[in-house]
Amino acid sequence: MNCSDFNRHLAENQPPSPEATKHVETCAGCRAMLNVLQIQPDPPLSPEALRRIVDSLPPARPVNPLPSDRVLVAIALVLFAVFCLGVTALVRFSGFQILDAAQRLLYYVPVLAFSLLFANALPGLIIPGAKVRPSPGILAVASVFVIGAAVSALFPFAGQDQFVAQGIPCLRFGCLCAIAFSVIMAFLLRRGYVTNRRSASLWTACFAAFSGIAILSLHCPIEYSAHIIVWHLGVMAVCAFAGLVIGRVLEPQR
Amino acid sequence: MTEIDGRPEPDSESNLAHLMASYQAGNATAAARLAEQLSPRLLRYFTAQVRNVQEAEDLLQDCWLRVHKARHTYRPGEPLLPWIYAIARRTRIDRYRKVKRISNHEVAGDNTYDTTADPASIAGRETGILELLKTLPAQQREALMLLKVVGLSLEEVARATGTSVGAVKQRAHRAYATLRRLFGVEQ
Repeated sequence: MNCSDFNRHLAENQPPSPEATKHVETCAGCRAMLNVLQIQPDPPLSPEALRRIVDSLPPARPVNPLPSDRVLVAIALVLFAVFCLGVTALVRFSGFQILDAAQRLLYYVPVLAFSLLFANALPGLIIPGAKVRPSPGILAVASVFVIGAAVSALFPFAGQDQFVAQGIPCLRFGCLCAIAFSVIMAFLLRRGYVTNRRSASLWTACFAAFSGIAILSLHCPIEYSAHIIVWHLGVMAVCAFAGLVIGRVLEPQR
Repeated sequence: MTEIDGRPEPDSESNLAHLMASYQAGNATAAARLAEQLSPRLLRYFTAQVRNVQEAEDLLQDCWLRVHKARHTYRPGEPLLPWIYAIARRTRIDRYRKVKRISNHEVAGDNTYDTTADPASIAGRETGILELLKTLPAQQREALMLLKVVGLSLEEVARATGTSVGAVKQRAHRAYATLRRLFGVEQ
């Protein structure tokens, strides 16, 4: 074992192997480093400092712990579903009505699946020290690719007139829906304690964008994949960028 | 109301989790006991990140106020230390941003660690390891601090810092390599 291998062994944070022990016996540098890194007893805190801390705490009233992960995810999903269906009910289910059963299955199953994945990330954002979930950025990119692939398989690529003139209203509507849903999610985030504002901002933006995409999939009757990929999935690009910028503003440095 | 044994209790993970659950239930004695048991190691964590003990104690006090505010987010039965250190980390980041806004300089790798407040018997050792840690980049310092000085596992450090176990291992590996260079030892 050489010093580089010993470094790797230390980084594994495992009990010392026979090879590591033997290396330390023969290597003065590694021995010196280990000596400095040995855990020492914690330095005592002065009674005055401790009393100051305890006295500064507000009264310890009983609190209800946050619900379980499943309940939190369910709450996020229900809010997502109610919001999407409610908004679509106001503007009509034109997109849903013109699809046949097979098309609905291929189109909406990925939408449901990714909404579940986005909701599943919520507990990791509002509970300090929770297990790390998939990054919202990865989910956003994956959702765009999967839904893009699905619509490419379902619908012809192009064929509509006034591609831009008909696309801009969809993009605008999707972004407006995303803004509204992000406000709801922000209230949900406040229920916990966010320790990573960048991730929380990106997640809020991407999940909100996804609500816009879901609403557009239910409402928009234009059945061309180019239109959907550019103007519907484009909502994710716009919102994700906004989420990144807002995250950087909230937390310029870590 | 949960009864708290008046005798000193061992500082085990299960004992800390039990105290935290009692704190959530409104037991002020449990809150004080938790502060007593965890403050020294939290102080060590903060002391490695800032310039002097006074600043570290201010961070410690701020941290406990945040723990109080966020106590409803702790899940009984889950490990307490990753939860506490995630809040401590947030406290440290917010304080750094506030100081940066107020003052225009940040001295990287500042070794002006004030040892005058420390007991003489520990000061020498404390100065060595903490001065070394302060020369490391922030992420490496944090990983090594939590692994080697605080004594968390890889999984616990990953949870406290919001990263993966692989990322923690990589940071630790780089930290050891950096320390080795500081020692002037060839690999």
